Amino acid sequence: MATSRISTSSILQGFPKSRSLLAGNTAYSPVSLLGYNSIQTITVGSGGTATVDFTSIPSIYKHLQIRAMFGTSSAGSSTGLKFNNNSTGTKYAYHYIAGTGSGSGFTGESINRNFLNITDFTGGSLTASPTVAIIDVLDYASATKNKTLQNLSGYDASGSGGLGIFSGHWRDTTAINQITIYSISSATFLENSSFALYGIEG
Amino acid sequence: MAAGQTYTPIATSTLGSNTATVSFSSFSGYTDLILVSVARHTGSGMVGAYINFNSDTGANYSQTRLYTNGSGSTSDRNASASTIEYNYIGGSNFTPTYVNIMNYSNSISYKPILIKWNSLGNGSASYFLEEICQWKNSSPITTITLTTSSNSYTTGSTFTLYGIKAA
Repeated sequence: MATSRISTSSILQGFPKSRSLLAGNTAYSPVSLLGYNSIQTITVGSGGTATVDFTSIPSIYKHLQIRAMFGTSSAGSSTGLKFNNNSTGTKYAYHYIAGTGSGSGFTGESINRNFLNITDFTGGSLTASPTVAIIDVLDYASATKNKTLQNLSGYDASGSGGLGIFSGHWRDTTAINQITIYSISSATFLENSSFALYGIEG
Repeated sequence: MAAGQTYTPIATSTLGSNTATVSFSSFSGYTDLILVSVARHTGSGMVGAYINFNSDTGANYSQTRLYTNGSGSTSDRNASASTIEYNYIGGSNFTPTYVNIMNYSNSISYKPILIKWNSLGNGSASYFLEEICQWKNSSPITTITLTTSSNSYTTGSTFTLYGIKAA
C-alpha cells in the first residue's frame, strides 16, 4: 500500500490557525445550563444534625432554589440561614407576612441581624407534621449587588400549623458560594430531612 | 456534584371540551411534583376547585391558609377535610394555581403541599392566597384527581404536571 508523508506546514497552509484547543468552538459543559438543574441534595442521617451546609456552590447559574422538607427535634423552633458563613456584623434583614389558621394574618420585620429567618413554623415530627420551605436566592453570583431572598414555608398538622412568606437580604456584594441552614433555637433537623439545592439558568 | 437539568414536564392536559374531572397518573421517578393550572368553570360566579390523591375522599386532608382580597389579610384552617381546595375559580376569568407536592413518593411521612393561587373575580371576589396543606397518609402519591364543587372545568383550561428530581 502506498503511503504519503504529510508535514505540519502542509496541513496548516491555507487553513485558519488557532492557539486554543477549542479552535473557535463553544466549550462543552457536562452540566446542562438549560432551565433548572439539581446541584446537591443533603439528606440528614441517623442522629440528626443542627446544621445543613451547601458549600462550593458553582457560580454558573443565575438564581438558586432550595426545596426542603424537614422535621425538627422541637416543634416551633426557628430556622435560620446565612451566606458564606457570614454571621458577624449586622448584614441581614427580613420581613414577612404569616398566618396561623385563625384571625388575621400578621406581619413583621427584623433588621440588622446576623442571619435570615426562614421560618418560625416548624412542626416537629417529620412523619406527621413535616415542615416545608421553597427558598429562592436571586442573582447569587453577582459581585456587584447585595443579595436578596424570598421563601414560602410552613407546616400543617391537622389542627395546628402556620405558614409565612418571608423576604430578606444580605447586605454584601460578594458572590454566594456557601449556604448554611441551621436551627436558631438549639433544635436539630431529624433523620431523613432533605434539603435540595437547584440552579436556575439566567 | 451537579446532576443536570431536572425540571421536566410530565403531562399537559388542555381541555377540548367541558370536563368534570382531570386526572394524572404515571409520574414515578421524581422528588417533587408541581401542578400548574389555569382553569375556569362552566357556570357563573366562583366555585371551589379540589385536589385529591390516590382516590382518597375520606376526611384525611387538612389545610392552613393565608389570603387577602385587597383589604387586610385572613388566615383560616380546615383540619379534617375530604379534599384540598386548591383554588376558587371563576366562570369568567381563567385563574392560575401553583401546587407544590413535596417528596410525594416517600413512604414515611404525611404529604405536605404548598400552594399559591390567585382567584380572579371582580372586586371583593378576587383573592391572592398561599396555603400549606397535608394529605394525612404516608403512602406514595400515585394519582392526582382534580374536580370542582359544581359545574365542570371549561374548554381551554390547562393543567400541566412537572417533575423535579433532586441529585
